[in-house]
Amino acid sequence: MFNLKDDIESLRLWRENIDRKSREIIKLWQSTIEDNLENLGNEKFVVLEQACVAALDTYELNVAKRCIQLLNSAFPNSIRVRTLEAMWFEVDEKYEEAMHILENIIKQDSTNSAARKRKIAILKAQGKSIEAIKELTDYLKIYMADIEAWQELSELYLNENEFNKAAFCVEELIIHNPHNHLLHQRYADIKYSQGGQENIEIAKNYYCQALKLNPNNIRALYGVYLTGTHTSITKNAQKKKDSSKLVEWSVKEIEKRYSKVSSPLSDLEERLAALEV
Amino acid sequence: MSSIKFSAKAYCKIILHAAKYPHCAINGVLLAKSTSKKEDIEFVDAVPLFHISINLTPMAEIALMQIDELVSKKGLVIAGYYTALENLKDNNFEKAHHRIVDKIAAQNGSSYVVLVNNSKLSVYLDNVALKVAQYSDGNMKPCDLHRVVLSPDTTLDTCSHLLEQEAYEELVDFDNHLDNVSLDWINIKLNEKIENIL
Repeated sequence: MFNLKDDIESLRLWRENIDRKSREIIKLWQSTIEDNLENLGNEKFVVLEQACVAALDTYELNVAKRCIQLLNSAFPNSIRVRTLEAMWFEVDEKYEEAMHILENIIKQDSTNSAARKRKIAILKAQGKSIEAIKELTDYLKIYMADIEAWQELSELYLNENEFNKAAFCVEELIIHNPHNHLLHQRYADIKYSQGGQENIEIAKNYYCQALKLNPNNIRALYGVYLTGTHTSITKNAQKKKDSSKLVEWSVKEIEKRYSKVSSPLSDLEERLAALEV
Repeated sequence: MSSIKFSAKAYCKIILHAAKYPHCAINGVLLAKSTSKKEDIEFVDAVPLFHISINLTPMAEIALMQIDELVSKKGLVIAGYYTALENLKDNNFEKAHHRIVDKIAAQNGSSYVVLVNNSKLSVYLDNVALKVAQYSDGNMKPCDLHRVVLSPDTTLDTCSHLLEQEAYEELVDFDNHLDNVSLDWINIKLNEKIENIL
């Protein structure tokens, strides 16, 4: 009983961060939440929704069923609860039934973005990635500011090795959120994977920008090292010098990051020896 | 018929990696003794690599450089690539191909590709939940499952036991390492745990 408060706090935190902690949520549900539903106050129904999704994710069908029933009796005509019901069918791979519910929701409320997104998720689960991409691009024509959707589209393109289009999605994300170092790093990762001298130059600039925004981004630091090594292979003397300097700097910085670790990794020198030119 | 052997360390870490990230694709590399012959391969260890966007290459290059440097001193070589695909139904080698496979094949002449057979995964493993293919000259040749041997033969029990203990929480892949460089992808503690259960 005494840790109920902590558990509610954890659930709240995971909700806010949109963490996928399904296994953990179910554990909390079983240990404290289930028997204390009446003590949750205002949060009761959000927690029920959260537990329901987690249960569907971990195939705890009984938990999911109970959550849906409780929500249904509190909100008999709620679209949000019907979306959960559709997900219940999804878990059992009854995609037609799920689609049917979702179509009806969209008919009733054409601005319901959650239902449209579930439809795309179903296509993905069926392995129809091309159709999923098409649906998602149509979706983004209406909901241009949906950051999550751009992120997902970028991932879908990456799975198809469509680096140019994936990069375009990340450009959109950077416009929405220009100070997020992870996006700059991701853009550089894509450009580097694409290959070619020009793309590697671009990648180098974006890795540098990511590092400027967050000096602790070790991926960006390694990225600077990699792109610097590539661009130092050139006949242009000035460029060669600049790149070599950059590589040297990055190796030093990487060593610094590792030396700060409280319990040093074994064979650290050998690991980093791989970076020496 | 020649065999494809997996040590407990290699097998358990592949399965634990897949169990730690059930909702996304994961990959890693397999290590063999550099003296081992091409036909009778034995994978003595596995290094878990990525679970975030496994198709991007820059960090894979860094990982391979470091792994290569470190294991060559121990007389080991990167000889195989393993992956589990995102979609539960994806169990074919076509989608399993990765640029790392080309890299390994370029170094060794050929490469083994190990795919986690999603449909055989469960908390209690009674089957080898893997599929193996050999890749050379751009061709993926699936291997007969009878050739796949786990050594010792109690490995499946060990693996089930580890899953039950939720040992996957302890597994560190290269992505975890890049998020926090104090985490070690060699997984020394987890290796000890596996050896102890055996």
